Amino acid sequence: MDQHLIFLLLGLANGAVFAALALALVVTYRSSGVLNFATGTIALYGAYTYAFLRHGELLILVPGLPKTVDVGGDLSFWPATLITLAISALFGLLLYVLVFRPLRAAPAVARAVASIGVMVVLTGLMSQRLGTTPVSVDAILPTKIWQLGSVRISSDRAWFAVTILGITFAIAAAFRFTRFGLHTRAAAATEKGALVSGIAPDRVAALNWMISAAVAAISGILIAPIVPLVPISYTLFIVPALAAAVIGRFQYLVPAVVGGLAIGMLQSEMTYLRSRNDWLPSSGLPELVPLVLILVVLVVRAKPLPSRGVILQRTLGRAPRPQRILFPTVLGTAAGALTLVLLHDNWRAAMVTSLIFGVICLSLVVVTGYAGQVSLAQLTLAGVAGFLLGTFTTQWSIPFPIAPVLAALGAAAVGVVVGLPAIRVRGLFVAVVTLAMAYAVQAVWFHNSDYVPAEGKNITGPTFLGLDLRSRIGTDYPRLPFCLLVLTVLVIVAVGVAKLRTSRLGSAMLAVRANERSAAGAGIDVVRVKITAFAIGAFIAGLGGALLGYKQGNLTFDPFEILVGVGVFATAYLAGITSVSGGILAGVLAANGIVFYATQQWLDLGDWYGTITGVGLVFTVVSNPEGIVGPIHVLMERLRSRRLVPAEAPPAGVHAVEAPAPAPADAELLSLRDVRVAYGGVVAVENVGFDVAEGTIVGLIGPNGAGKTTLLDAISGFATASGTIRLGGRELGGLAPHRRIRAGLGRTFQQIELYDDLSVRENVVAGLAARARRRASAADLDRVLHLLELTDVAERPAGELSQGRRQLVSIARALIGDPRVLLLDEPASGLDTTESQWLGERLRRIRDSGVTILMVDHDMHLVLNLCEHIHVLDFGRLIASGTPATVKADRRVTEAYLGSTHAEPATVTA
Amino acid sequence: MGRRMLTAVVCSALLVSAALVSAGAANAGTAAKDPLGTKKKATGSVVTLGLVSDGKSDAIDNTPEIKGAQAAVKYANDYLGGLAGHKIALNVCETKQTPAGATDCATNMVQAKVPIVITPVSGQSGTIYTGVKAAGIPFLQYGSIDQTVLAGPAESVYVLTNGIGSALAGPAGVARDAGVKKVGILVTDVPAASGPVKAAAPLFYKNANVTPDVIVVPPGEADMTPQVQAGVSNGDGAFAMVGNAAFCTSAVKAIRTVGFKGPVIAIPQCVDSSSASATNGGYKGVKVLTATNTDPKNKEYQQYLAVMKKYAKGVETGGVAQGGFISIIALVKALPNLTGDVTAQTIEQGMASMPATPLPLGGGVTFQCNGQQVSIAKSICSTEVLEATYDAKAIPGKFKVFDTADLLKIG
Repeated sequence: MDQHLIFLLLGLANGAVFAALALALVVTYRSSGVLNFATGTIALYGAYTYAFLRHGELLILVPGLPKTVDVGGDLSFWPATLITLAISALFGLLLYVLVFRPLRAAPAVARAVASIGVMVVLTGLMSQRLGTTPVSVDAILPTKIWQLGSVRISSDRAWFAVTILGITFAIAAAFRFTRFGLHTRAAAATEKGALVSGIAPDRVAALNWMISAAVAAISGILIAPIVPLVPISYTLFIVPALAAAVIGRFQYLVPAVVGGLAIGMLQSEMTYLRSRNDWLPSSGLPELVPLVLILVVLVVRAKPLPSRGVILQRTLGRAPRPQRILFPTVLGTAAGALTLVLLHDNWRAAMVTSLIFGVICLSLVVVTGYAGQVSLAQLTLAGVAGFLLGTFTTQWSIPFPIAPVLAALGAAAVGVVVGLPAIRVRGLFVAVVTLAMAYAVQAVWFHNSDYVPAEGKNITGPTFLGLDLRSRIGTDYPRLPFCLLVLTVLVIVAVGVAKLRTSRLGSAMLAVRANERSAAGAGIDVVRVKITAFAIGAFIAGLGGALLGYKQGNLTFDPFEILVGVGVFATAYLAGITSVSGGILAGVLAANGIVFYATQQWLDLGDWYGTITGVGLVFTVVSNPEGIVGPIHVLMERLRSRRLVPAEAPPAGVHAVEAPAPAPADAELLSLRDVRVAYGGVVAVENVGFDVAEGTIVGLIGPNGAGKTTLLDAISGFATASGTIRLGGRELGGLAPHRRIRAGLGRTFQQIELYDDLSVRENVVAGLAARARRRASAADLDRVLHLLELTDVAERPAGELSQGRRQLVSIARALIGDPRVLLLDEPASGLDTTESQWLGERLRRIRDSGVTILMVDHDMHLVLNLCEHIHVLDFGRLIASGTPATVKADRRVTEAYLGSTHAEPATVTA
Repeated sequence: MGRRMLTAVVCSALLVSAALVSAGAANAGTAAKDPLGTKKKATGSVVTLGLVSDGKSDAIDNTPEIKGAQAAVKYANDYLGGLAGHKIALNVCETKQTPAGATDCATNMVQAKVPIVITPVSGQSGTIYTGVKAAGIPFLQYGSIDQTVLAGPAESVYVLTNGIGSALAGPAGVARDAGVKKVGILVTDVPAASGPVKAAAPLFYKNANVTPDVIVVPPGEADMTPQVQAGVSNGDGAFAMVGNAAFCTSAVKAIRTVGFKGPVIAIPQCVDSSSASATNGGYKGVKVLTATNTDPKNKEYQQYLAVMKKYAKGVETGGVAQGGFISIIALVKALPNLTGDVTAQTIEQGMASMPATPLPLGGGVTFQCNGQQVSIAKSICSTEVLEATYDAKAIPGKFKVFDTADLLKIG
């Protein structure tokens, strides 16, 4: 038999392990939206419970109670399994009630962080109660040996894979064909909708948590005969299992499970290839498999931009704008320096660790807090720089300031690679991809004894201009000069990150974080901003890694372990990942930092430390899903805003509608021919063609679903269309959205996609990215604000404005890009009649300033009064065109509205 | 987390053998006599020795090591006259298995000005040693394959047992004696574990005229059948396992699953109380290279159990507890004639001039820390290891001294 085939088969057992956990991950995610890092630990708890029941004991994890209770004799397979499933289901219910129900409305990242807390607590409890002696479980499935040529395969491996597949199909069928499954899918799609249909989402969610915990337990039981149980047994399976879940897009059970099996089988094949080919890297090949698989599946298949209908969850807290930088910097630096001088020995070492982790956490503020990319690879990137620094200082003798900067640049290069997949995937998928990247880097590099010697990588220095800045000379450790160096780096990085927040690049990052689509609509090159964020973040993390290297003088993979990295992310998230102060606080709270050390010294928590930390983590997330620093910022802002202009003044007096606009110029500025958009088999826009003359306001109307927004998307590049779209004679077809915007289009969105954290002025500044033709001056900005009467609210956060004002801000953002044609998608939605009239007036002023407008709106009064020309769409086709009067008289138009179930006849006749 | 566990255990290499001792074993001998021998109280001034242990984390529990050392201290103070007459006390620090914790412990020891730091086994020995050597404090380990420690000067670093011999060179000798030409070495894919194996195996295996085939296993691998089968397909005639109980359980299962019949060689920490049932008797015939005779019939071993029963009741007597115990007793046995204050200098002088001395629980293995034992690692105090064979219950028997001197030559 072919050796390759045999080795693929030999990988079935490992594959089935990943598949089993992937199954549990997907079931949990699909029903609750929680990326559950604790899945492996819940599975392990199930496995332990089962193992003890088979020996006639019921395991109790609650501290203080007896460890086990005799159940009167060893149980056989079925009773043990059923009791385990029941206990696990109850545990799932407990998790829901205590942790995930309070977090129902919290950001997805908060829920993932909570699951990390659950993992820590459960692991701590098991370790405390069960010790580290492996517990083993007898085979459950038949262990006949199958002879395949010269190779023997144990049948239980194959049966394991088959069983997992069987369970998967059963669960998939149950969700597909039962009422409960329907309710789950309904509740997952929209909680409100489910409520309206008489489904109790709460009960559905509770039941689903019970089911997913039970599924995790089944996985655990099936894995147990293969893997000896110790409290951390299953934690390392999380990366391949997550990769498998990603292959199923966290939605589809069968692809996830098949993906898990494939990972195990390909890893086995890699082992074989490695044993036959000396030129292959000696370490890490199997660990590359999950990464390569998810890259192939995710990146190749992902859509470049999310389409309408994708509900973009708010995932992170506000990123407040630093008001003053100098004062906190001076105060913080002084406090830090004083602390370092006063503390000695272990205390000072802990303080310096905190400062270094402050630097690393600030990298998370840039990547995650500003740009919205959840990166679990930052600690690994710090490690990249640390190990590079070893080579630079000991082998190449590069001197001090250059070596760490080069090392950080190296990390930045790796960071760009880590960030590349984020171009095509988003949200928590980015988290999984970065984790898989970290896992691969760690395996191929940090674990590889070809690159990292067994005794660790040595780092020498730093010395600078005769100053000895080394962290250790003899027993003098950590030396003050080194500590002050670390503080200096932290201060520089912190100021830099604060400056970044107020810079144009920072605004662009926040725009991308808030909404990629609207950022692209504002002319921001989303891809470049994301990659820049990853590069800057990695550079900062690299500086932190270099400092850690200097501090320890010798590095192994341990401080950069991927699960430690996940922990660092959780700490940063909790401390407040969106602000500089949060990043620094995260360093203070980091493992082995000053708070950690103080608690260890003052509170004799002993072995309970891990468990208590986990409980604290979960409690903090539940009570404060947006981090500790968040409420402080809110408070400070409230205090500050008292001193500012009180409330938003209502729009200044509404004037009578002005005289009709000057006659349209002849030049056809925007020209559409045979524009067609199809999604799969559904044609959304069918061969539409019309021209928009320069200096006019043109309306685009039609019933819901007629394809109006799709047509705007086609023009601005958010939807792939065939046909020709010309702007001032220039063909736009095939250009990316931000290039079309820069070519002279402006665009607003139906859901006003503002960046609520940014001030009105910053929101408008974000649109400056669109301005390719000439540089904008402050005067341009003031002119646009003035034109739309936004001057008085320019410094207020956009989130605080009324709906009408928000509309104007989004229009201002489009205008500052100096567009020739402005595409407005329902600018009057949510406005009352007066406001809408007032809006019409502003639009006319815009037109008079030389901007051509193509607008979609349902407010017929506005459209008929404002537009010189109107086009009517129905079912994707252009059914009528003409002046307001002709369109109003056209019977086809009335029919289109009346014939549609969602028609608004009242407004048509208005 | 997982990696750290594996590193910790693997690095610590030479640990003691199985924890599987029937409870009744300690009762052998005459009931009337004190099983611990004749009392001889320490009467001199108190000397506080440093003990740095990895302690307990989620991954590994080495606290029995501390208990074993504390029991040895009490026993030595009551029955052996302490350390050359001085009453022994211990200053204990736990690394929590992190480099930072190890650095802290080293700093603590330096500040406490202890005359010697004892770290029986640790995944962080290099870091601890680096920290204490700067202050001129001698460093004693029960076993180590940490290259910084092994490279340390023989005057101030003492590694009692021959970890290189049992983990790296010994298996080549066992394979040679069994007529095997190629050995698959299964080791976790982290530098601390795989680095020494990859670097040293070719040198030592050449001395035995055996080819090493290093097979790295990703940390936490569930099923090792692919790796073992790759070895078998590659022509490996024997397997050596370098890992802890969880690692070796998987390895033995895989070796039995693929139906491999050749020699299998383990290091002592491969086996714990769960091994026999976890592998379904798979350990039968597996050879182990160790430094501790844990044959239930062995007199010295029975005495050790009696000491533990008296001074550390309820503590696991297998595994790391023995390392803690032996480290203390070996120091006491090596320095009976130390005069004056116990300082770093007097300890170094005493160790340099010690005669070859039977290693506590060593089953005939001797140690002599004069830097003359192993030319490539002068801090190792012995060329000998014990070879034993497991039965189906994973209990070692048929102990014999196995000299690795000819395997450890280089050049």
